[in-house]
Amino acid sequence: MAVKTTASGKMDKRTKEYKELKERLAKARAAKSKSKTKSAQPTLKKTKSGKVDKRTKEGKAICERMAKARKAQNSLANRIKRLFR
Amino acid sequence: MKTSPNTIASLLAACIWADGEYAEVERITADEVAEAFGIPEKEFDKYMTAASVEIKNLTPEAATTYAVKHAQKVEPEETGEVYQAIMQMMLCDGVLTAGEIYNLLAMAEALDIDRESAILMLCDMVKNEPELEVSFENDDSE
Repeated sequence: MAVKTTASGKMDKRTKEYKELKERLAKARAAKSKSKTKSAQPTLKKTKSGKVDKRTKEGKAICERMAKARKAQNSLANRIKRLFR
Repeated sequence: MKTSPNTIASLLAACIWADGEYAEVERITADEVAEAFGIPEKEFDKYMTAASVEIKNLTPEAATTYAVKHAQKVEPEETGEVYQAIMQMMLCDGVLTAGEIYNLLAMAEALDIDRESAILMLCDMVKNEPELEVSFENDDSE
């Protein structure tokens, strides 16, 4: 079954095929949510620190400068204010 | 905040456990969290130090159990704010790695935050913190 597309290449939402596809997806989602069981909690694991090596003096200094700058700019407080308050 | 400072500190300590040590950069970030949540910095530092000592030598499974136990004590309406603090602590080195995303999603699950919202909040943070680097380097367990 070929899916008809619009001139811009997107699926044509007016077609029967599109409507059927949407219904199938909805059914699949409903079935999945019904059968969904709570998965086991993923275990935390040790991480490395990307490009900045916090074990070196220079790496530590870079991280501290950045953390101080974030604190001075109220980075966390601003995000919380913008998203939740 | 209705959630106790001890609970918040314990969750942040779990992030520090994953990251190695309670270094100066983590202390600065903990101060920032305390300030954002209106908790006296000295009081919060005491909770942080105690929690860091408590969790320091735990196995990954025990650290996860510890995080989940404390995540359940977070007031449901404050999980998003606490998750923001966790992101701030987890990414205080200024680099976002695959391992950190794994741990962030584990913490989100412990807080009962759905994966989609957790990823959106992370995207929002990356968008608003231009100095934050994204690393594709392998950071499998040490």
